[in-house]
Amino acid sequence: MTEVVSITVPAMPAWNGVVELVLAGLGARLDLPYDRIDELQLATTAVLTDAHGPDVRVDASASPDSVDIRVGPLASGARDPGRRRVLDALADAVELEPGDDGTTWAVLTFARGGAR
Amino acid sequence: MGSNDQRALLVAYLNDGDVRARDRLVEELMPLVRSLANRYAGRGEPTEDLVQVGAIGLVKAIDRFDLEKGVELSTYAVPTIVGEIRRHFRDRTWAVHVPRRLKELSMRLARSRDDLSAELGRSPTVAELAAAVGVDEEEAIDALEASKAYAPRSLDQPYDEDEPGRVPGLSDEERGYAALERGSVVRQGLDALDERERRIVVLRFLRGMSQSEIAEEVGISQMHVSRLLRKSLEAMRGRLEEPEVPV
Amino acid sequence: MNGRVVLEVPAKPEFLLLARLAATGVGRSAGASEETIADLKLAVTEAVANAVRHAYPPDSPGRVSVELSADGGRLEIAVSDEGRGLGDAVLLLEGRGPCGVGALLSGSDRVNHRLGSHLVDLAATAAGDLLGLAERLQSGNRRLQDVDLVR
Repeated sequence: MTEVVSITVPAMPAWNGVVELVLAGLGARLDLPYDRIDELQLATTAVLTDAHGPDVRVDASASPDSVDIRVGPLASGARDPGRRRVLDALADAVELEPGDDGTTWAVLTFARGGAR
Repeated sequence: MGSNDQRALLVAYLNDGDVRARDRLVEELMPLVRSLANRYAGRGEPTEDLVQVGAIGLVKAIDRFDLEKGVELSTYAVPTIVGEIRRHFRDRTWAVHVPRRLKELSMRLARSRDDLSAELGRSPTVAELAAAVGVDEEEAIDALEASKAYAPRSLDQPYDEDEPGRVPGLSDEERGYAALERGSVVRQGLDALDERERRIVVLRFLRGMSQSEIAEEVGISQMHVSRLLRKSLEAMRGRLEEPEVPV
Repeated sequence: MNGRVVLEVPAKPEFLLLARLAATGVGRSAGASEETIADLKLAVTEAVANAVRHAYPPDSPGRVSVELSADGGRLEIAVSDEGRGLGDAVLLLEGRGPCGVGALLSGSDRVNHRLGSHLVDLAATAAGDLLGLAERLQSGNRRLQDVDLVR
């Protein structure tokens, strides 16, 4: 069974640090190289800015091959293409899933096994 | 003042040490400094402080200006001015929220990170960093994060189309910005770099840190950062010019 | 800055680190002093360790939820699980150290809660806050049989 760590924070930049700290803790437990942790943090906080409501949730889980980060609910609709391209550079896969009430969830996948 | 006049002033200052020429240049570009400072207004710092800090950035940019390159001073100065303003926020955040102990620890960690990267041939894990510096993992994580200072980090900032003074595609760094906007090609470009170069590129273009900020974080000299950036951008450009490989 | 953060993790000891890091983050985002952050971490450690120890039978671990709220000079922690209704709450008042509300498992188990070396006598001044907390704990599936003010 994959264990999931969930963190819900107010959708404001001042609270990004909480998410980053928790992700770093997760990365430390998984023995990820710190650069990888940095990429995880950067990509996740980039997605957080697209939050739909006053709060946003990050679900993180790990398998032997990857770390998967789910972020939502996000405002659906036009997504900044520049940011999307940058996310593509940081994460190994970026997918968008529909959520309730027309919202969107982003799923970022990071392969394990060292910084690229 | 036309760009020829600016150029003449730059030559007078950089080659002949004419300080009045520098002062004239600063005066000339203060509107740019003000407009950049205004973008950071209303975040808990008096705008006048930001303008003064921005002016310091402008002076630094003038001092560092390379007459050989065909770049406008205003274009060249924008990242340095913005960098000083953002560093001001970072320092203020530290002063209010984060103890000196953490700041010092994070500097030690930054140096260890560089040493270990060279030694291991990859980025070190938190466990390795913590052991190298002699603290527990939790403290290491806290200090590593504190160096990001909880100031709003946004991938949007380097991509702001409205940034005044940005003339497209002039300097190496401007071309680097453009290169980074090209999706999967970016990843190919990044693959051309070694671990430390990639980190410096990310810090420069995705986190918008100035070269001296990067130098402080990575624990090398600013000149070294500049050299590595130039080398990285060339390597990326070389890779990007190859026939596109499906990713 | 005021705000509320909720961390949900498996009720296992290796996830305690994440709870402490979340507490650090909340403290910093809320602009708390280093001393208060240290108290916050201590309180979270106690509360989560307690949940890890008592909330689930050893062969079927569940999840624990840690809620951290910052509201003016107050930082509040509430820990709960989906299992046997352990509700454990701690109230910290800036500059005064933590005050623990002993919460009880439903059934006959009793858990008294002492937090580190900070035993704070807040009876007179904080009674109002604690009673409000006790009332909240009583709702839902968290049964509170007694409220011990840690002295």
